[in-house]
Amino acid sequence: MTASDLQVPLARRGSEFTLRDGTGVTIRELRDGDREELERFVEGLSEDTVYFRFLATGMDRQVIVSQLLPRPGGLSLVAVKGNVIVGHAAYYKSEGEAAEVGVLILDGYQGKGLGTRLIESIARAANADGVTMFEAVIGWNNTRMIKMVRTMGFPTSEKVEPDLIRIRFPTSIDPVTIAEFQERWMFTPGC
Amino acid sequence: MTATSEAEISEAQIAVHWKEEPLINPPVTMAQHANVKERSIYERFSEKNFPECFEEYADMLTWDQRWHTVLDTSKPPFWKWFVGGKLNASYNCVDRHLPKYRNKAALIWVPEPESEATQAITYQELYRRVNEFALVLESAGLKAGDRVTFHLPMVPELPISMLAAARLGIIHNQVFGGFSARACAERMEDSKSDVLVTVDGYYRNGGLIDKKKEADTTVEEAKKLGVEVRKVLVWRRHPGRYVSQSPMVEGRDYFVDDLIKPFRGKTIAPVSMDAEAPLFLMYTSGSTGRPKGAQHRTGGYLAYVAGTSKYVQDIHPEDVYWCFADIGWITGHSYIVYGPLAVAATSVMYEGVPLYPDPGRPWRIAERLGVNIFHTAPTTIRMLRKAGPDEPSKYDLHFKTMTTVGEPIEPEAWMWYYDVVGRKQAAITDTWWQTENGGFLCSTLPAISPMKPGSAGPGMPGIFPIILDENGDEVPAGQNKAGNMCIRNPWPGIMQTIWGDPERFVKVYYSKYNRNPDSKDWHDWPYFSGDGAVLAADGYFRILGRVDDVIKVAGHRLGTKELENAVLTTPEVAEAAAVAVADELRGHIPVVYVSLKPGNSASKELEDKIRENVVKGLGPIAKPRTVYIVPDLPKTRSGKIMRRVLVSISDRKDYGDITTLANPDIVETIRKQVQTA
Repeated sequence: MTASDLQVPLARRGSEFTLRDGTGVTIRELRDGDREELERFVEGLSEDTVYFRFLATGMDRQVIVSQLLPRPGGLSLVAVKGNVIVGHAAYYKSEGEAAEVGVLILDGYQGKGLGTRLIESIARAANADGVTMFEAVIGWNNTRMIKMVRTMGFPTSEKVEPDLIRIRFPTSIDPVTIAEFQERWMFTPGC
Repeated sequence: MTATSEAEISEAQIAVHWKEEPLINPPVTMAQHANVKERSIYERFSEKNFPECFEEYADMLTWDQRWHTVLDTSKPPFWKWFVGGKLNASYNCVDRHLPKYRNKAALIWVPEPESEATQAITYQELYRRVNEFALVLESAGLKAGDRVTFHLPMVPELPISMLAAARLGIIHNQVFGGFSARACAERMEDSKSDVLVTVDGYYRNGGLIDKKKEADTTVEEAKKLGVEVRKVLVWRRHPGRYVSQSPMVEGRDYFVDDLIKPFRGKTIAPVSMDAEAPLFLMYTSGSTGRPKGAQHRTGGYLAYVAGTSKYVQDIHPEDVYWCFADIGWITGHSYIVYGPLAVAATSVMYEGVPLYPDPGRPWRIAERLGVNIFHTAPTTIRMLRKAGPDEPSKYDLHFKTMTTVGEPIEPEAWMWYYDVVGRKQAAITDTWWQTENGGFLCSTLPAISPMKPGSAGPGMPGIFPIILDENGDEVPAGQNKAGNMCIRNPWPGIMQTIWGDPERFVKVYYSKYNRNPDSKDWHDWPYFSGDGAVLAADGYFRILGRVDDVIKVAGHRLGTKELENAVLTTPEVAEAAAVAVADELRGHIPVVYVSLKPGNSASKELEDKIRENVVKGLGPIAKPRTVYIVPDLPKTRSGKIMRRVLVSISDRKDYGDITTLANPDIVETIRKQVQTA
């Protein structure tokens, strides 16, 4: 899973995946023309799902949509079934820092392995983009997401704060990236 | 795959950094008459004797039919206790005491106005009044399994109503008097309950509160939620008088004393209920937007509260026991009503507030009635200590045991309780448990364990606590390292489920540490309490407070989401974050940060409006100390609100690394606003 494996950047050509329950989805980059579908996607999110993603109660749906649109210094992917957006993942770069990664999936599509697929895909894209480190900020009681990130297959380093857990992981499992992760990015006591 | 984690428990979580306190031994003479005289109880209730050890509690009750299985673990985590057993809670708390204790006060009720006479209600009178009201409930169309909602203050009609409902297997749902009409309506909607029992008015802090008017609002609010409240049963605070300003609605509102007339002197047989039949619902706040109904079973719950009343508070029938708390929360259900009455106690109830008309009032009550077992919350202790530190010494007080409950108590307050209130003669039991647990989970036993100020003590007999870190590994004792307080085993007092939401029950309390959802072995299902704790080398637990988004105000749980939802009913508000800040008297109090929608500006009026909306949505107990209207809330680059930064600002502590925030400049702006206010 390294940048050199790819001939065409993954994000642009889109990849097809089969979820645990047999559903087929495509993961591709979010495009300008997706706005309407994105709005529909946001409408379909439950309060709990929104809360886990933004740690905010009662968010205005239009505000959520604008949060999910592509931004400079980042990349947004969507998982689609046909034309319908069922999942969204994005990372947000910061100079010299691990990029923050966020995932959002329709309730009906949760628990089927889509989260893992989205993170793997966006990790691959990030790695191709020169981003070698991710940080996920997860609410303390978002047990499902915590378990998923821990068991995805990347080495992880965690920092527990009063109301959330930060989990850092490299965007690739090649030896060079892992060495860098261990040397530079793992959480140390007191940090 | 490697994972490292560093548990960083912030100072905001550890309310007070106190050193390990020395142990204090109970009076040597206590053991002579105590219900628990020796440490052998821990052997009896040890893990090798689990779960049969709990038959000792169940045997304190009278059963119509004995159970065939003590604990059924076939459908974890929906444990079943005393399966096959049949009993009635009302019978156990009333009828069966008549042969020996009919003359004895079951309840002694102290009205708030000091000029009004105390009411001593014997088991005989309680028997009559419970039967009569049970017949009223039956005539209102209620039967076993139906829910009835009470929004009653601390008047004797509350335990009477509870026991009447229990007599027929009707599931009661008491809403704390301090919660708003809207909060009551939400609970009626969730429990699908269409009968409301209230009182016309009651006294609080010297004033008469119009409760019937509030009931009208409850009915209106319930209607908005799709519930048609068909009957409002109104008890009258003063016989023959009606103290409310709101008219009785024909066909909907009824005076209980009118309905009860045809049933005077009549009785109805207590219904023999399955041990697993639900007894009551008690709503509690958690991490969701609405409080959830903790559903408690009849047999296991009653056995657990009876046993723990007897062993922790050392209640004998000849004692005068006063639990100075509100029946509207679990402490009152378990340790004002069901536990003490099951063991034929005399249970004192006080209508009013601790400082009315002056800080000597509670001590006058204790002196007059000869209270020798006292049970209250740290918030009350702090209040009494602050307002009248020397008051207790003015009265002739002789406490044998004194219990504290609801939140951790700091050593300074504990020592005052011990020295000044208890005269160094009483054994203090600092208990830890929750609405979901039914009864005490951690506590010393008064005659046999040394007390440690600020620590709850070891697990109760038959309870096996464990502190787990975020990886699910045990946090070792004696290293001053905090972790998540969990209980390894099921116990009879534990709630059955969340009313109407079994999935959430599993998710909230078990999914954190259960690794194999298919396992039928109870060892694989540690109960996650949501409280943080530290375990000392001597085996005593020190509870630190909630690890989640729940704020404990004066021992009452408030969910941050519920608070935020109430704030968001203000149309000008775009985003809200509620955080807990330390409070001298109440332990913690909510503080709210909001940002506004474009086109709106901050003002005092808007702050007040927001505060009002919180009170309307939840109740006066939730009123935020301060509302800060800020330009934006601190967020990560992916848009997540960083509450810990706001907590640090409110607590005037270092807010740590903010370089990864999307809007780090806002932190200094907010800090200036808050800290120079």
